[in-house]
Amino acid sequence: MIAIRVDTLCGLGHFMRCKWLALELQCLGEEVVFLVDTQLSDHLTKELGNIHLLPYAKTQIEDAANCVQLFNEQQLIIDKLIIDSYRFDIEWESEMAKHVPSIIAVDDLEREHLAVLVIDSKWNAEKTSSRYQSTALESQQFLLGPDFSMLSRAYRNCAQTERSNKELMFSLGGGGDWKQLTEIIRLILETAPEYKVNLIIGPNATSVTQLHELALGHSQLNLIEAPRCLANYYKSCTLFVGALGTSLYELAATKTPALTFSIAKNQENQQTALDDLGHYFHIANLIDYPPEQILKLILAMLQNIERIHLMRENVAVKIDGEGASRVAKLITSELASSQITQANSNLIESQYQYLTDTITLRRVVDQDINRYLAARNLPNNAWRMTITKDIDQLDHYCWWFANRRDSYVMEVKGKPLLYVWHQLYEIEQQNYLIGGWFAASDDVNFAHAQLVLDWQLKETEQTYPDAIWVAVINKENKFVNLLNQRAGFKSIAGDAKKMAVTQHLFPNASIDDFNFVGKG
Amino acid sequence: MSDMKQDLIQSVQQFLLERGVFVEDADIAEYDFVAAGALDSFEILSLIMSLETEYGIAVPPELMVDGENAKVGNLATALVKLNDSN
Repeated sequence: MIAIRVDTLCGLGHFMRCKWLALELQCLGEEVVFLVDTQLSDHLTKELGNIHLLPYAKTQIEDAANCVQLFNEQQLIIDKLIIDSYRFDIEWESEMAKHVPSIIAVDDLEREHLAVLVIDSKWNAEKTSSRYQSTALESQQFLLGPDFSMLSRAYRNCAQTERSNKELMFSLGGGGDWKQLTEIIRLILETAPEYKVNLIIGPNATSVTQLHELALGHSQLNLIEAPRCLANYYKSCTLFVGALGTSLYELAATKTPALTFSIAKNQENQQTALDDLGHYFHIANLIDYPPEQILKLILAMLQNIERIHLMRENVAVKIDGEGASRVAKLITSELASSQITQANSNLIESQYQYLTDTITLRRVVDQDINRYLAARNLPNNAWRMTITKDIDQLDHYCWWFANRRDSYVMEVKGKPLLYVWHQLYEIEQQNYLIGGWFAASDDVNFAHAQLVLDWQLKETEQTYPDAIWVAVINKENKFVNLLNQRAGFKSIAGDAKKMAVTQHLFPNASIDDFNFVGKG
Repeated sequence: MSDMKQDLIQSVQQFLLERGVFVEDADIAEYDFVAAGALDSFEILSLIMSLETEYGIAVPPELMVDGENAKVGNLATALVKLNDSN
């Protein structure tokens, strides 16, 4: 018999993933018993067999004793014990190991374990394989990465779905405080009344009274309370807005366009890892922004929803919805060795050109959206710009969909070295070009800058032969001033027309701080 | 060693000296002015431009991307080759 001790005092995420695992174990003929902290509603537990409620324990040792007592009282012979809890750690495992032959830990916090097997589905890009490395025991095995994300069977083979083009979905998971989101939802209802808005209200949600009031005045607003499965909502919505949490893998499995934020520590993720899953729009503190700004971003995303769909298509790490089944099979068989999810590479579908044997250049695509921002905000770049502050994430996303730049990225072995861009403006029947570049890596040196400027000038000469280049270069940046001088840029201080155009195109550049130059 | 290569090496050695970087004759061919960190990007570009002016050659950007050409001897060899091919 397999026992699952799952924490139900901090949301339902732990319980739900263990539930999907238990159902798969049951399919394999295993008898499963659950030990929980709180009474759970029937609709959550009805497919599960034995569920036992444990008394609240003040310490880990006390909880372990409660578990052992229950096993004895119920005469349960436990072969394997699965633990999924943030409250219980190696201390609890150590105590239970005295009574159960095999302990399996489900975790996502990279903690030390005594369990023979540790399952952690968190994707941490190239660092996924080294999670737990510092604390791993020699005999311990690991199932690491999204291949082992334990989702409902409803998330299998569900990437190709017919989506509504007028349906928004909001969710905060099993709990969450809806207070801050209510104003945003009200704004959407008033600004975009053609959209149906589905709110998924979890069983532990708070501040929902105003939402009920809002629903009375807006027929397009649906409050869906504690649904059994969200798969169909994910599959049909145009855009999901909500807390990241367990929705990350469900969104990825269904390839749902999404804008998410964090409401708990375990929802903090590295953006590069989210990019690998095709999840490009995560602003941790989104709900702290003024509602009008959030609305602006949501509307920009809706206007560009086809582009966001495409961004989800070709991803480094796929979620196939088979994780629970995979884990169940591995738990019930002899696991030969640890298993770790591997990412696919070469995902950007863009034409590469070789500038040297090892350096390539390609057009920037939508999947570069976060890498572009991260590079732009590197301290070594920011000081050279006419806007020296960090670019805000929300502003960047809105700008990304509206910008008309020709942007390119120079790479070495697929790793960005620098970004370069130019943009054409027509002012009084004359074409003008402006452009710039910024480093994406500490490896960028003078030669790369020279190489990319050389390429850019040749490229724009072919594409826009009649255009005049104008530029502003920070006077402190002696290297770039010399580089451009070598490339044929000259001061335009004596040319009133070019000066006026340049000042119009670079309103933040002062004559005191920047050299105004042109070519052509 | 060709005269031009010798001249190029001496020009680089003099350029370094004027910036307070003294490199012995015996070491100059193997001296890597990028790895040594003695010159910043501006100075390196200045060096390239001064060699271009002095020897009437145009140094393509690809040439300096190859890290091996940051060694004075290799740079001189590459520039001689470039000069000969023009």
